[in-house]
Amino acid sequence: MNYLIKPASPSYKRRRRTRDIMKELLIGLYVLAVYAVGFQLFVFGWQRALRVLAIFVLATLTSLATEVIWGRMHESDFQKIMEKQFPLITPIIYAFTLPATTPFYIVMLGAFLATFFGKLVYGGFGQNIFNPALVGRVIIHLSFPTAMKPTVMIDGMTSATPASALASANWFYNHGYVFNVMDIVKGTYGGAIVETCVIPIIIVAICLSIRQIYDLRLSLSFLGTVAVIALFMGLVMGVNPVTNMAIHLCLGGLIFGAFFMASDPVTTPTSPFGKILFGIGMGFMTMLIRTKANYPEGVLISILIFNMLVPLFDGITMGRTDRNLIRRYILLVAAVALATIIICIIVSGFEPVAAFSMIGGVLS
Amino acid sequence: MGLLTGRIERHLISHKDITKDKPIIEMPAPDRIYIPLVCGMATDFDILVKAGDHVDIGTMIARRKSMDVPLYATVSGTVVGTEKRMHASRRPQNHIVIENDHKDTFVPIVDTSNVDECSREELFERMKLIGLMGMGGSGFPTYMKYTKTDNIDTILINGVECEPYITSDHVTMKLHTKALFDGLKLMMRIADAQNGIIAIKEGKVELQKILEREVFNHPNIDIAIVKDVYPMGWERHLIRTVTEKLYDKLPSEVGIIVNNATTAIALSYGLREGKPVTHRLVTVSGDIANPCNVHVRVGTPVHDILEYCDIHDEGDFYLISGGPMMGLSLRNDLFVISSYMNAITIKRVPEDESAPCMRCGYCTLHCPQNLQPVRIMNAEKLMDTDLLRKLDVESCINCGFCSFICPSRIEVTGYIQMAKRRLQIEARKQQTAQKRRESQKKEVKS
Ligand code: SF4
Ligand code: SF4
Repeated sequence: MNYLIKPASPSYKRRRRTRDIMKELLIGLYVLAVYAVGFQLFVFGWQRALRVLAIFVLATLTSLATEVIWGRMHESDFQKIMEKQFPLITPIIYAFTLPATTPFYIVMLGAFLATFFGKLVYGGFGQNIFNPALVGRVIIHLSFPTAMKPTVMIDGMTSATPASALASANWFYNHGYVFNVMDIVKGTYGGAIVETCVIPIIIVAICLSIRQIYDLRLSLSFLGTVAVIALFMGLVMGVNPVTNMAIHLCLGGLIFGAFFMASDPVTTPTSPFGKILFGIGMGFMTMLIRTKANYPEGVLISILIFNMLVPLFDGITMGRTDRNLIRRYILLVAAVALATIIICIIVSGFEPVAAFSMIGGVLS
Repeated sequence: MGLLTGRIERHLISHKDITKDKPIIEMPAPDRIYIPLVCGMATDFDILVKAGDHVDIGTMIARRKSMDVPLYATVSGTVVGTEKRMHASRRPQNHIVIENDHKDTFVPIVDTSNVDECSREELFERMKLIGLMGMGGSGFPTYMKYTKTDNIDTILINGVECEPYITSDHVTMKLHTKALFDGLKLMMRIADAQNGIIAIKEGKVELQKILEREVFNHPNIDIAIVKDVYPMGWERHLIRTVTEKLYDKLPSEVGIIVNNATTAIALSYGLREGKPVTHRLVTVSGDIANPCNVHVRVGTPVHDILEYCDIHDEGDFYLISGGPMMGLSLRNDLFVISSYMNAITIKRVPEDESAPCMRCGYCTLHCPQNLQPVRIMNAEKLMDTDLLRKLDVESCINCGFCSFICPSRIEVTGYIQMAKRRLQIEARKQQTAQKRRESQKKEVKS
């Protein structure tokens, strides 16, 4: 027997490794991709299905090629890349956020940008500040605004997607809104690939969280905040609050974003409290962008913005996580309440400046 | 499971079955034994014998200067002298070497008359004389816990043994149930406590049955069955689970003294028969072909034990004194078994599987002290002592959970130990700087 010395205890590790976690996540994503392609096949026909399939494949190949070439330049072999860099995850997530009509060269460009500028330049997996898939997605979105505008066919006419239609209706559901809520949930209108598979995403997310692949705290607080805000927004504006909530949750890739992009551990705070607060913040930002900027990609932008704020959130949770628990719970509730109030004030058209000048006028 | 605090505990695959029901190997005392002059972390001993002296089992050979802990010879024979050799704490330490004459002559170390009648104070003095050290692995002098017993109402016997692989406590409790209860009752008398609790893990059906049969005869003793999770054997967590009490520094604040099960058994034998701890059951386990429990003389070199148990596996291993979670790995097998070493774990060296930290926060979710190991690790990499202090590194208990749980196989606990050392060095530097400044001031004044 030969004895080696190990500088620090313990010498016992649990079985599951990062690559097992990534493998299960990848399986979940592939299940969703297969569903998405199948869905396109049944609802829109084989041409569209092939197109979606091609988007997935092209994104993956481009991304993989980028990683391998980069690996060659930095003396890392293929196996090591697969085991330590997990190059297959980013392109799939990226491809999901695209509209099914995206031209192929844009798909490839975006996948390259995502992998290169989102991940590799920071030093690879674990070092990146932003969610790589989102980096690629947002760059191409800003560079090719018209090509990236998703459209759907209704009664043989090209029309805006439910998300952009809702955006032009100032993001709350009213009678002028032509889309049926149930159909939005089912995804029959199309739009971005993710928007077609709301229910499967939830199922896969539940499975993955049961397998403890990721922490649900963040995703649920994100979704919960959006739900609460949408509910109260509906009440304030006098539309059906439940419908309003359902539409807000289902559109714009929110569910996919919350489960598969926002919760990417690399770009989130590490403490449970930080995660929950982070989710609330993202929910607020999403609703702010939706209502104020009238922009269908609110989810993507807000996730990116919050990725930047991770150190700030880490700084809030100093020391031990079991201290000041009551204060922390109060803070969380207050954060949700504040977010709701702000959004409600904004959508109700209440202008603080006008109000102040009015008060000023009365006083003088 | 707290929303903001995480899980704290978790079931580990324990590998206890491979040694639990195996017959115990009785190992004869070797020709030479080495008694380490170490008690927990302390090494300040007065040596009471010199080379050439004859000793019997129970002859006091050394005594710790502070705290008054005696050490006894565990074989009869002749003192050879002292020798510096590698100790299980990974530092070279002084050992007293005794040449065994294999006669096992014995002198009692304490007065064993009327144990059941004598006063509390008398019992305490006798307990002190036995020189017990916490046999769960800490090596803390047992009697120290009984110096102030005004508010103590419960003695909690820790038979949890939450580290994987180790079964020595389990087997000892099964074989010496009577002594366990007797030791507990003696402890309760010394501390004037009304209640005794014996805590074991769920799933130990056989042991549970034996204990439950015995507990009928003892109205004020309870058996507590706790979940099979790590780190249940940690005092604070055990008390939190069994009595739902929280304390700041010491369990005595909430009226509880915690002792290891094997300590209670040793106390019973010590007071009733005047015996020091001469033998100890050691679990030799891990990734080896024939793991076992072996009954050895205290002071036997591990090398001899491995020879005797015929442990010869091929390959690279970590040789660990203690369990795989908290035990230290040693370079060679020359160190000896002390009375408080319950296991030798031999783990095969895994291939390097580390991946970058993905900030998953599992370590934060599982830390039983609710620390944030990943952030401590990053602060340590940046050598940011202020941040380290803010993250409360000092309260880490070295349980090893964060490294265990990390899916990227990062040695998080190692970084945390480094961080602790950094803070200690920093504090020492500040102290000396302070002193220098003061002395300079004095000089200026005078
Ligand atoms: S468990 Fe490991 S990978 Fe996860 S945050 Fe902690 S150190 Fe990083
Ligand atoms: S070793 Fe320290 S930091 Fe790591 S889990 Fe245990 S107590 Fe927490």
